[in-house]
Amino acid sequence: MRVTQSMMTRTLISNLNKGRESMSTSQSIMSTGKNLQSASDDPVKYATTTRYKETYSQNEQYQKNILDAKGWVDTTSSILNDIYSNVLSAKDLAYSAADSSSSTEELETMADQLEGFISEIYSLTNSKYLGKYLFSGTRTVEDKPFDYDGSTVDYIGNEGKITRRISEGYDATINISGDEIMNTDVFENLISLRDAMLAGDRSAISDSIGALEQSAQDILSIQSKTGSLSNLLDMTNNRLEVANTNLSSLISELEDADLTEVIAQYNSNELAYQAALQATSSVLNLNILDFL
Amino acid sequence: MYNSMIKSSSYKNKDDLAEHQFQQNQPLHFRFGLPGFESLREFRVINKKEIAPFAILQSLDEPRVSMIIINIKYLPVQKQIRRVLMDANRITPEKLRKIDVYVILKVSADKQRLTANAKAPLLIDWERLAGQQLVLERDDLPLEYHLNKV
Repeated sequence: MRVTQSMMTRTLISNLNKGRESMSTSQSIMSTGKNLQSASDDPVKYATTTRYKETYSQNEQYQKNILDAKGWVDTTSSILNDIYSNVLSAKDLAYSAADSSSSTEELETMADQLEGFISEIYSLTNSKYLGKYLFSGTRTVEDKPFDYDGSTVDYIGNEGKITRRISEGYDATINISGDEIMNTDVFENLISLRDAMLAGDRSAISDSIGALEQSAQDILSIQSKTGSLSNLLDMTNNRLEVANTNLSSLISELEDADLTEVIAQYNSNELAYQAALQATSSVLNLNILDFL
Repeated sequence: MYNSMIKSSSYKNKDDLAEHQFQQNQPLHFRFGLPGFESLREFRVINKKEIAPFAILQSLDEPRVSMIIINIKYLPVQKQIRRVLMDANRITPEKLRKIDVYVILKVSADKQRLTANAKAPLLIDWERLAGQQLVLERDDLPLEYHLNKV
């Protein structure tokens, strides 16, 4: 078969285009560091990598939820600790008041101090975190959950649970609703003690000490719950961090090209391309004089 | 660097060595999977001379899941990891002597460093053919412990 000049030219151009395409792929791999450009490169591998990347993103979202939850839970724990401290101080006051040597004036002074503790605890139970009431159940942006008129404290929040999804299929309840605090009878016991002091009723004052002790223990118990939850959030976050480290190790191996290999391949393609260019140049530089 | 850290075999006789090598070729059961791969329970540790002291943790459930690992005995951070395993996780020194502890490696984002996950070592009990990746609740053990430049 006769090999014409045009056949040679077409063959050379075809080889050039193949060389450019190959180089382009290698260049693309080098610039992105990834040898999985699209699903058509390796569909199964691509699907696997996509699945793991989705898991990675989901884990990152869980970690964000945990961060949000931690802020709420740790603030709650801190406030409960302050309430507990106030109740202990009130109990100490009760011991002093129960002492028969305290005068009526001294009892009145202690009652005033006790009123200070009640106001402080009332203020703490109406605390907010990022603009939302901490102890109101799910009524976080409406009116204050606790209302004090000087003689009684009413809870007007609800028992709703605030949850955050912290791992697949697991929603953690992060709030303590106000009814749990009301169930400790802390306000009732403090107000009773105050009234007993004002009345000079030492028997009632003595009786209140045991009641306050129980309220303090109940508040401590609630605080322990938040402490455990905080630990759980930390542990879950650590596990998610490790999971994502494992996932990124694997995604990296599946996707990222062995750069040494890619560079070697690129250099090999470039040499072939340059050789093809030189050959083409020789062919296309032919002129009539070469045929004479 | 790592060749100089490889220690000679401490087995009493050839039979012990052969037994250990046989065990090392058996599938390992990871009761809880690995974090991120909780559904994968069966793995093998593949040791090859060409990549020593590194090894490969290969999933038998999902062929595409394999990771490069190294025994902590080759790493300066091994003492810290062992101490945490004994203190915080109540693994006795006797038990620790009977298991191998590995860490999973990865290449850093800038492709310049090899890092090991010292915060979550792999514990392999060759007698029971069981493994577990333990997440250590310690801030002083890093997720990316730098081994060396690649």
